[in-house]
Amino acid sequence: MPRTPAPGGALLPATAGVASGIALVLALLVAPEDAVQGPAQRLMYVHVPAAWVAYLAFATVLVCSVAYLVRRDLRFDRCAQAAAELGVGLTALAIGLGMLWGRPVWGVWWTWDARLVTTTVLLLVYVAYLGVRRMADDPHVAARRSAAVGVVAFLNVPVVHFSVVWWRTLHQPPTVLGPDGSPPIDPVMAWALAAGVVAFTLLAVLVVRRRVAGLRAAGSGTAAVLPADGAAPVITVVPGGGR
Amino acid sequence: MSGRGAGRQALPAGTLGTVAVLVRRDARVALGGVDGFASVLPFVAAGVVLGGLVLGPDPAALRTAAPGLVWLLVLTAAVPLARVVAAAERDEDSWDLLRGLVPPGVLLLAKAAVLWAALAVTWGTGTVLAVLLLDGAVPVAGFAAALLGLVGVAASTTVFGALLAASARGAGLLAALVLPAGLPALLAGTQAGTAADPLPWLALLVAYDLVAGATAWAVFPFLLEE
Amino acid sequence: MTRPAQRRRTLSLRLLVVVGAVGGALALLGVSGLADTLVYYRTPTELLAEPPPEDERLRLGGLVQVGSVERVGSEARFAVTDGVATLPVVYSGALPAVFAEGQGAVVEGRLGADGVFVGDLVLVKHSNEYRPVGEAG
Repeated sequence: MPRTPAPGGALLPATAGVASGIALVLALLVAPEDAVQGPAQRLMYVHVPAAWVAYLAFATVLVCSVAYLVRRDLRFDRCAQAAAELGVGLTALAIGLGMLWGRPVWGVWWTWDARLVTTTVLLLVYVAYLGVRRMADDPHVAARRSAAVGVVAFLNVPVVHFSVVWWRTLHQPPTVLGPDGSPPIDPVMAWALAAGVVAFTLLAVLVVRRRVAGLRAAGSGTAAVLPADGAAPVITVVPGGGR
Repeated sequence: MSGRGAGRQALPAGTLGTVAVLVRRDARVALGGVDGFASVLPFVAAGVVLGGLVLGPDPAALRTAAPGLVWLLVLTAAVPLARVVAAAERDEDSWDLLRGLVPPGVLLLAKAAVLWAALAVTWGTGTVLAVLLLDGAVPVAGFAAALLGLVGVAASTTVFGALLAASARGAGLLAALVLPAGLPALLAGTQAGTAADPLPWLALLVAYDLVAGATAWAVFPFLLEE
Repeated sequence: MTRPAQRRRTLSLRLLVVVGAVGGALALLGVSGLADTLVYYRTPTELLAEPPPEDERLRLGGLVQVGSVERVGSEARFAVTDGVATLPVVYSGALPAVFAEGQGAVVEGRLGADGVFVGDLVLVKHSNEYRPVGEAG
């Protein structure tokens, strides 16, 4: 463990680990095989949580960006950066798994469908957002600019989510987050999906928290100030602070 | 922001006068500067010629692809044109002074107006070339779509130009932001010229202008305070 | 320098305007009928009501009619229905493994003058239902 920041410092990693284990068992062993799509359907238990938690990450970028613009506290900027990095990774994961699923089930890796195109645009915009963060040397200038872009970029998220509702697409409409109340999904499958979402959310909180701690350590410049830093397994490879 | 300080005498009184001065200055940059038409119009011409080589020689294929090709070239040209937003101020080193004197909304309006005109000229040049070389046709709806769609493109490009105002780095990044931001204009602008009923596409462009304009106005002041 | 409280007021006002603009844009799109324009595929009913130009490449989508699939050599014939109208389809090529009667499908190709849709790519469209094997969905 890095420095235990809160009393529950070891609790979160343990819970996330247990939740991931349960989700894996449910998704691979317990949940029944889909009648139509076959084993490929099991990719859904990762694809859908990845996409949802990516939405959550981008919403966090929005909230932290607005908070930075109001408070001018670099804490919020670090939070926005960590959440955006996670969101980019999860969006790429969702697209990659979607392609893996699409080949056996639709028959193609890619097609010009509104959901696929808008999701890819979402990924590109947030990759560019991470680039904007590095355009300025002064951390406050970089934070202000990226906060502005972080607010604008979020406009993509509702477009992605509702693309399958607004337009007639090849991608199926939402099963669980759909407009009508009773999701057309087998209860065991729904539980496996829910476990996946819980596991992904916990892991996401863990990753963002560690990344924020890493950014704080890198941002404060003299890493030796924190005695425990040398032993910390925090990912500090990516140069933070816009250098 | 209260920018009505003592240094105001450099600019004529009234919002319209301020806008006129700013517009004249930026128009000079667009017309004569390195980042203006001098680089953008040859780029568009080369794009139409090379696009024709890639997509041709089937005249039907060229005709179909022409409006989309022009829109793609205009969006790509918006990346260097974004430099016009702060070029005059960077040369005179007056960006900080201007920020203090002119309210951000007025500044955004003036800058976006020049960019809109520059983008419209770029689109017009590309379209004339497409008509001549690619046998393209320009219906009235295509014109209306260009004039409408470029409002939103100009608003977002102005924001990105302000991002670039203080630093020379990161110009390439703009392409990654300007192109997705212009996607609705590209899609609707291309479709409005060819669809049987262009009205839904024109409505999409109005909606796009509304959202792009409102967000540009909302974030622009934060990009100004350096 | 502006203080946080004042900044919050200014910012929330600006964000409110953005939200209002997004709402206005959505309302505008709702009444404009854009949803009918930006479609990935068209239904048999739409294609029969408004026949496209003969050389136009388009996508036809619907359910594969039960009992309509015939395989003759490498060619497959089936009918796509939306419950109201039905269009016959000819497709030369291997059908995807998950292709089945009663399931959704999207066919890319051209509508011939004889009313037969000549497809060159078949995609299987899935509903948002997830049911285990052996349970009638």
